[in-house]
Amino acid sequence: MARALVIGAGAIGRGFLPWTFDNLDFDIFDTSKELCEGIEQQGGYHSFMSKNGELLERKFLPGRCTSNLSDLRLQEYDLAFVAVGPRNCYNLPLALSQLKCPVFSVENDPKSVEIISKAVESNNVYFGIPDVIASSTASPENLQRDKFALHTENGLLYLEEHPSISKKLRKYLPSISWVSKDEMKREWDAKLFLHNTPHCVAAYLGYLSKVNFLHEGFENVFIKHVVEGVIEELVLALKRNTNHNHIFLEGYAEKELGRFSDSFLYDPISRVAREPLRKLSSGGRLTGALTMCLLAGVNPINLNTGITSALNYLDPKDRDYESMLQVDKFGIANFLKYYLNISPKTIESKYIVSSFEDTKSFIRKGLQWN
Amino acid sequence: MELVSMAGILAKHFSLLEFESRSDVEYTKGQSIRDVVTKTDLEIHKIVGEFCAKEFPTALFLSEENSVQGNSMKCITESPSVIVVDPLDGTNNLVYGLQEYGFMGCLIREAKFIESLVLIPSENQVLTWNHTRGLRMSRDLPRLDLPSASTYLAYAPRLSSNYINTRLELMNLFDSSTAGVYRYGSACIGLFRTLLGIHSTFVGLQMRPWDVIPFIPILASMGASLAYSASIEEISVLISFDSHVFSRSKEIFASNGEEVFDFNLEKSLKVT
Repeated sequence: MARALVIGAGAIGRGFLPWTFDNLDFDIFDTSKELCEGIEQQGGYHSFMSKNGELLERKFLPGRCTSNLSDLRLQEYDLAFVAVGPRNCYNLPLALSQLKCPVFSVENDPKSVEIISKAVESNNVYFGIPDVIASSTASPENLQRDKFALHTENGLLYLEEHPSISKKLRKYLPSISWVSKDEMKREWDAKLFLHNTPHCVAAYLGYLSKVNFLHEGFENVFIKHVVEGVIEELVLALKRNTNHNHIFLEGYAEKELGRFSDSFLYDPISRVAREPLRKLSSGGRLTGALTMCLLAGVNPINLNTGITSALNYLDPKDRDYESMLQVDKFGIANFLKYYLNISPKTIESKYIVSSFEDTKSFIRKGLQWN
Repeated sequence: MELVSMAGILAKHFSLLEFESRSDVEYTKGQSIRDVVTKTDLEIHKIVGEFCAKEFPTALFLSEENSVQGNSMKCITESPSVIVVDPLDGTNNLVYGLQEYGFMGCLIREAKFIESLVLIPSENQVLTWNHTRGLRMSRDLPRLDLPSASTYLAYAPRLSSNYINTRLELMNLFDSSTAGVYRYGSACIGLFRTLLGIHSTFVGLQMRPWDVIPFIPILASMGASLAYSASIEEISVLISFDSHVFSRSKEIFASNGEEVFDFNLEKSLKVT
């Protein structure tokens, strides 16, 4: 039996990845002592998977779930996954450099590979795409049964093919799709622009309409209409800007709306919308998508509605809250410049700034948002 | 009210530079052709002065553009509350059409740092430091760890004979121990690039306090080693992320007769 280490016990690390570990033993490392001790004391935790209109249930029992790396024999793992959140990759403990196995970043950002490589001083770090909606919480009834329970979708895990991944190891992981770098690029474009972008647009509009879970927002016709529009705009832009197969892009887009409105997932708006600066920053899933649309000659009216809603995301519990308060103080053009590194001379800035107030009014009317 | 509250107002004013020329020299100060003043210096001085008069009415306002007295360091170390501001550090760069300029300001109470605000238009960056919240950057920029980091050396137009010697010895040290000496007309940008790791060391000799002081708590909070020597009117600083260069530079200061104080955020500033 092979052994994996999951670094980060959040939605992906604890909720989704273990479903792909049928033939693997695994341990979890997380900086939350309370979480790790709680899971060990109660002898594991539950993850619930939404699949074909049903909610499946499994209890996972990691060999160790610990906040102390010295509890683990780092040299003995066959595979490791980093799922700590993109900003936390900078602060991974250097002790992880003792890992001798391939390490996969499942952080929703290809740049994380380089950051993790530096942080753990390893050249054996690769990119992975968890194409899944995994919630950071569970339904009230499942939380009552197990306070560490999570809900996840039945997603797919794509991992970058590399000679250092042995055939034997692959055999242990039959549900993982091993793909070449080129295929990874296609999957990443689709995941980033056809999944992540509309997903967070749905969350920001959901926040403004004062709902707590993503599927609740999807009951609002205005939100559904805007998110559908974002997907249409981005499919068109991807068709014009890339060589990706059009049938693949259309097929990917088709399944997205159903995923967002899955009422089994209990996906909190606060999770999907968190850290808006990263999502809004130059080249990110929102303004990067805007650039792609503008370059492709697509008028991104719906995407801009999403960007405007993100610029109005003011959750006091969010890490970026104080920065988001500066939108009013700096004015939109200077906020884009100083907080998102988008110069006033760029077409992206001009597009957002020139329509900002009108788009706010449009959202206000559509959502009856005050 | 905090100094950071005026960051948005400053950003709006700096953005005017993108669309119209505000870099004509209005006058030069004293006999130094280096000390030019533009409309932008004066406008930002006025904006900040009005803000401080309203929000910090009891604090002494010490700006590059209102300082006629020769005892600014004494004011900083002895006033109950003082705001130190350089409205536009690197004015000559603005006149030349170069991008290296920025705003620096800080609030000091009883010789201890309370708050700092730095705004750098060309880098799209606002830095704020607060004695309770620590350092915040408008955009996260990881510090580079360059083996080829260089040194920024700033100095007053007319150095005392002691400092002429100090400068010579320091330059020899920096040329042999770092990737060389840089100087491009804005201490503010030199200090910012020290924070980024482009420069491993910043040295300022006989500086006017507003040219360097607001950055001191920012770099201290990033883990830089800091030492300084101050008279009643000027300050010399040594800021470094390189322990060898730091200790050797301190020795050079001391061997040229300067009394050097180590700095950390718990300590009060003092003058000799």
